[in-house]
Amino acid sequence: MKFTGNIRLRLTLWYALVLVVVLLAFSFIVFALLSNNLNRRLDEEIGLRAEHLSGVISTNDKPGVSGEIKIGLDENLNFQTQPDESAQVFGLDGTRLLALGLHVDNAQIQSIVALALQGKSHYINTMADNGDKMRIYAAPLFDESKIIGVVLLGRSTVSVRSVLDAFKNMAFISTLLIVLLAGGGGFFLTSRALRPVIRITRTARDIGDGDLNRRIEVLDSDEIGRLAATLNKMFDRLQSAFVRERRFTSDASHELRTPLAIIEAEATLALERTRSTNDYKKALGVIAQEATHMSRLINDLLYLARNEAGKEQIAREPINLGEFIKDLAWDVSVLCRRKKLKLKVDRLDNPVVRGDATRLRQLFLNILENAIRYTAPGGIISVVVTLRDSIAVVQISDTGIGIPPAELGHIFEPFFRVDTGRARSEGGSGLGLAIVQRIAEAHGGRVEVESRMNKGSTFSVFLPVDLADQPQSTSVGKSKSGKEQPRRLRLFFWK
Amino acid sequence: MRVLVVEDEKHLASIIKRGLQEQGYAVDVAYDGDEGQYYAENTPYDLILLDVMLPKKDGLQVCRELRNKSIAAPIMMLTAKDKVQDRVQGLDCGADDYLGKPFAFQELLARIRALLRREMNVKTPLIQVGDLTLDPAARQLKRGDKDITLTGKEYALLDFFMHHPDMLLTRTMLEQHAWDYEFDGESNLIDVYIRRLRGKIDVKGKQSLIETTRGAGYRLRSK
Repeated sequence: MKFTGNIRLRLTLWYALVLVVVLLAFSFIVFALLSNNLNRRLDEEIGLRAEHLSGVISTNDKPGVSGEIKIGLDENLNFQTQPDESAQVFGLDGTRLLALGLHVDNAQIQSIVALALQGKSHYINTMADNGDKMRIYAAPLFDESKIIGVVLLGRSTVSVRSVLDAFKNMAFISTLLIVLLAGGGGFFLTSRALRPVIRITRTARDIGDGDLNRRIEVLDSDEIGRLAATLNKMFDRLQSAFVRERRFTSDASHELRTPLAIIEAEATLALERTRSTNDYKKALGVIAQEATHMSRLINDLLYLARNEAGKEQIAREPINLGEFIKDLAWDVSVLCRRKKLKLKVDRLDNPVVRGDATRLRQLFLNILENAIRYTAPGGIISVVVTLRDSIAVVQISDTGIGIPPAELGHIFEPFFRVDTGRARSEGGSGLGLAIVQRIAEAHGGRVEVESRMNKGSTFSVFLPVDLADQPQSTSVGKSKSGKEQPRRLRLFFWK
Repeated sequence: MRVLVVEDEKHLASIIKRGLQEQGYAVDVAYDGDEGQYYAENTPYDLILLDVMLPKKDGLQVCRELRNKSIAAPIMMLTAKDKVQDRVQGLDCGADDYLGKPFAFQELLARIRALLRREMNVKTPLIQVGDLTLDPAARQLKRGDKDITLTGKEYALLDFFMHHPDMLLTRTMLEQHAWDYEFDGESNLIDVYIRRLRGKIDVKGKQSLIETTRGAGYRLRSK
């Protein structure tokens, strides 16, 4: 089994390991304390018993020259040994005068008796003759600060050891039980905690596999619930971006197919049989026209794609917007004359903006071409350039067919058409206004539109200006009283 | 054979019309869904070419409504939408065939011939009536082993006769299936063409293949 791939198992194992270490350390400390305590109490008890024994030994009279003590080993000795006890008394010369209870005698005993005779009381662990482990205490026996012998008292350590053994067993079994229980519980709890994660994973995988409409069920408002809600929001955004992208691709392919269909139909029809030069010329004319339309469409698409990817570099050269619009008006005046439209240009101000001349030209041309396309002969197209509070405004108004209010919000979307057929037959790509908006935004500006059905539309382009760039004659103060502008200019084209 | 082309892209519509007329079909063009449906409901077309994305009413809707009104003319969907789902949807709403744009003109013509053949339950590409043999793909007519050359309108008229052998065809029917709305309606034009056809296909001394039912119309005899 791969542990790294399973959080549940990994968590449980770590959890159990930590628990084992903690419990073992705890047991060890408790064991040490307990053992220490029990041994100390045993020693105390032995000491007390030894004192007691010393107390009951009567020294009948002053010791003789030999220092001999006479100990009442008779029936009046008020001392009884426990079954696990050993009590012994030695004389000054190290001879055993008394031995009660368990029998203990070995080299260790001799050595501590010798030590005790020098006035040093001592504890040792040793073994009884029957094999019991013993704790032995040897203390000098005094008579008025004079050592007259040695009292030795021992007790079997079996009681202490049995308590410690019982504790050891209990600690081992309880550690095992606790770890098993806690591990099982931990596994269960982690599984429970991870279940929503597994659900989220499954849903996310389904969504990744293409079922974009699925969402994660948000059951609680805990951390997991918030994660699910956040993911859902992300899925929403991804889905709308994806749908937009897919629609764009499908629209683009439809738009590209139409001129292709014309080219292929025209070419294959022309090749169907032998024809006159004139027929071939006509066919080639249609093909050339459609090819031009296609290349314009592809250029627009490429511009949008580049812009979308954020790769477009916008130049920042100063442009005198008034002059710029005047030049542009000259260029489109031919189209206006052909359609019998009047074109007016009012330059109330001459703001200088920073931008890319090619792109700005494309922006204003797209709006002007739309105005010309959707305005019936005899109509008026007017362009007004003003400077309002450090923003240059170019308003392009027409007296055309207008845009239905319901469609106004969509006209800047790629391939959006108010009437599916109308722009294409007039030669539009359906991308013009989308490009207008992108260019304005790339310059830090924006585009607004107002329209009334059958009255006309007004597109307003707002571009930020740097006041340091402005010529002396167009200060902000002066521009507000546009009527005083001496450089007001009108162009009329009327045929 | 009279064909209705419903296509909002004017350039493409005019190319299709031109190409079909060269083949001897009578062609009417409608530029949006409503107009197309009106034409189809009021003229007995032999075939309808229907774009899907149309202004006013889309092609699928037009197709469904025509079928609901029991208009049985074969319909070929003609569209830039060519995902499997689109094709299935098109065929399921009552269309007989589906051709994606862009297309080669030859394929369009071949599919039209196939649809017309299916309409008269003929599986072979050659149409035979008596000892007359018509090859619509090559636009060739033979009587026995003899090749007969026909002009566009003569061909259109004979094509219609060959598709309906032994049936009495009235002047109105011939007019409706061999001429489009641009026809100015001089009724004796049909008689002129019938006379020319007889001159080309009949053998001297034998009874004419096209017989006249006085006051009613004409019939192409198979025996």
